[in-house]
Amino acid sequence: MSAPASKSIRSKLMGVVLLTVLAALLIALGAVVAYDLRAYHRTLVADLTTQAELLGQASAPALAFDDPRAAQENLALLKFRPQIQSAAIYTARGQRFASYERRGDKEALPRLPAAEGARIEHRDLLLYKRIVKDGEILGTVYLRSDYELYERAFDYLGIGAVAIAVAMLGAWGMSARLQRGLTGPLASIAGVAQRVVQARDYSQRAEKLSDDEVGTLADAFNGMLSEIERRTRELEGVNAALAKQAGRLHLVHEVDRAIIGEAKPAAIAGAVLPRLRELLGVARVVVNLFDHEHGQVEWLAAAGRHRTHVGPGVRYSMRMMGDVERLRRGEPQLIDISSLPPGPEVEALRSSGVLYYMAVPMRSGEELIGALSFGGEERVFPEEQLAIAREVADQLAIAITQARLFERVTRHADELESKVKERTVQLEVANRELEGFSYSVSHDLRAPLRAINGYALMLEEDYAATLDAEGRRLLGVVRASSEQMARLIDDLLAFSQVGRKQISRVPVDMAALAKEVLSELKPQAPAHVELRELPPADGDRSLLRQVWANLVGNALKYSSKRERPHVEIGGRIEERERIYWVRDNGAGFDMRYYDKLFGVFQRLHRAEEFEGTGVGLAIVQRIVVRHGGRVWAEGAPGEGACFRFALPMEASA
Amino acid sequence: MRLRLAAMLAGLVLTATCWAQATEYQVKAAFLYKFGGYVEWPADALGGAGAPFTVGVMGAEELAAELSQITSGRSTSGHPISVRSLRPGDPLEGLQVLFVGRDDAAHLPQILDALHGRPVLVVTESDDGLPDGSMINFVLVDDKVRFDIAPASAEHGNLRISSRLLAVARRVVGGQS
Repeated sequence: MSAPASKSIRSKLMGVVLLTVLAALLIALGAVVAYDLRAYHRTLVADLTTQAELLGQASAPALAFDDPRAAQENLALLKFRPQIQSAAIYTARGQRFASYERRGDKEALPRLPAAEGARIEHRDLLLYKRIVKDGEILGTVYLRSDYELYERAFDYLGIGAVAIAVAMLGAWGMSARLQRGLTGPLASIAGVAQRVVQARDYSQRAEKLSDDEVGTLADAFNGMLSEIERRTRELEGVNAALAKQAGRLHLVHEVDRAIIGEAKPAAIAGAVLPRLRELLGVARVVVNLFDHEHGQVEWLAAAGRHRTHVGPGVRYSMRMMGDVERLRRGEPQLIDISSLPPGPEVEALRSSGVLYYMAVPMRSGEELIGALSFGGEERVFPEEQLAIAREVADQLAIAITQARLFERVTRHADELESKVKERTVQLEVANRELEGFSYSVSHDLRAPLRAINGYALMLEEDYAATLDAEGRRLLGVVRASSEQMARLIDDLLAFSQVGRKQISRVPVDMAALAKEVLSELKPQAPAHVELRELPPADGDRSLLRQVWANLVGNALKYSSKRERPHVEIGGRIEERERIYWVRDNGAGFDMRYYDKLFGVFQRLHRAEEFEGTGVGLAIVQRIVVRHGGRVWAEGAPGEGACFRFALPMEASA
Repeated sequence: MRLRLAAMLAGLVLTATCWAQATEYQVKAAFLYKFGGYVEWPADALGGAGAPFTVGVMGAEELAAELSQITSGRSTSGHPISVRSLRPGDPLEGLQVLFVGRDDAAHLPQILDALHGRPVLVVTESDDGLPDGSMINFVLVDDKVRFDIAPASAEHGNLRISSRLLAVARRVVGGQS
């Protein structure tokens, strides 16, 4: 199938026409010949039948009266019918009665008559006809005639072949001429279509050779081509614009990424410039940073045809950027290097193929931080190029300002951190010295104090009698004061020890601990103590014991002057910490002085009212803080106080 | 099929053999019967449809018997054929054909007189040529039965003899008017 399908329309049409003509001729000739041959056969049979009938009728009496001579005479008349080769008359009993042979070939005659009718034998037509008289069969007539059906058929075949050949030749010639008018224009269109497809040249046009459907086709084809041409051109324009747009977007995106990535100004410029140069299609692009203070310009980065130079480089005069005031106002400057005073920079520009360049301001807010310069041998800078450059310049300005800011902030932060570190070290040293000092002082103070107290006691015991009442009172004051001071020193030592001591971490049964502390303190106090459930904690058992001792001691102390003193000890488990509290209905405190509550030697009550050193809560806070927890309190004068402390669930501090 | 064809051929051969041995009377009887087809009688001579076509045979018993045999149940032109054996002097009414044998040839003139021009085909078998008044006369030529015809005599009896019959006659006697 593929072979005929690939043939040209011309040969297909020719084939159709010739086949049609051939088929029509064959059918017509076949019909004529068939009709003629049939007519010939029928006519011949009818003719012979009539002949036989006549012979039979003529010979009936001869048969009836057994007169072969008369029959013979009748048969002899057949010599006027040359196509009859032989004839015979048979009696009713089948005996040959009379015969006739054109060529005297007796053997050709059948010995016995066959059934009535015509048949064909050896290109002869044989006919048997009964002779009937008064319903009685008298005999049979036999005729053998030339049967020229085949000859006629062959004649017709020959004539038909010649006729077909002539007709086909005529048809071929005529259809060839007709087709030239039909397939010529079609072939022309096909040729144009092929050239269009192969060369993608949509400017080709088909020639209109006729005003028929093919002509319409050519017009439609041309219309289609021009439409395709127009669309292709449009599409190419749009594609180019899109590509440019994509390049711009990509560049801007890159600058943005650089801003987000907190890159250094030089890195940003270095990443953006090569692409920008390609997009602008110029020989050279430079990012210039302005040093207004020195009236100078510094290369941040430059991209040429072959390489990109990054980093602070050459410095040159601001004049290279044109009118700075106009730049500040956002107007790009076109600079012709021939107008610049000669110098090494100008020579460098010339050698890199830059004769003209455009300086586009890079402004961040109101500040003109530099200019983006680009150029080549062309003096003309298209609007679109300029638009791209301005966009990128603005973006670069923001990015560079941002990067500079970031650099500055980072630098400041680093400075601050190092300062803090320095101070911390200094503080720690001072603190250690101080603690050491206070420990040794306290320790050293104890010896003389013990002496004072001891001697005062001895004085009291041994010389009480010699002293008058006033002397004894004064001695009591000395002793009380020295004891007070001893306690103070003990507390101070304890406080300083808390700061120095290594904290061990073990599970601590807080309930047992509180009970233990309570049993030590309770006998001295009248308060009713309510001990609630206390969750266990992780920490230093002895230090936590100190916490409980101080808080519970305080509560008992400050509530002791109440009619019905009441202390509540409790705790609960929170999500990340355990909270414990000690509440009393004692003297309370003024929240205004809360700041002083946990300070060393800070007391909110006079010693005459409630004895104490003012170190207890400071110790509590130090222990809790060293456990990674916190301590706080609330209260009101005369309405009691509640102290709480929280310890972290996981002992990580 | 072949067997039947063979049987048919055998039958034909057998009848042909019989024909060859047919006697002179048998041939003459057949001719007499066949003459009817070639002779035209006046319309009133044959009678209505179904009226017998009567052949009278005189002086030839053997022939009469033969004729009766071959014509029994036959008819010519729609008339059943009947054979009547006659003696000289027998009435001749109702005959269409009258054969006068050799034995009674002498009575021919009287018979012709008696017929008196009636349309009866008179057939004789005289070896000495066609007797006067006879219309058809059988003769033996080379042991074969032939006949002469006298159309004029037939015309006298208002009979017309077909030219086709004349064509097979040995001799046609007398001018044709």
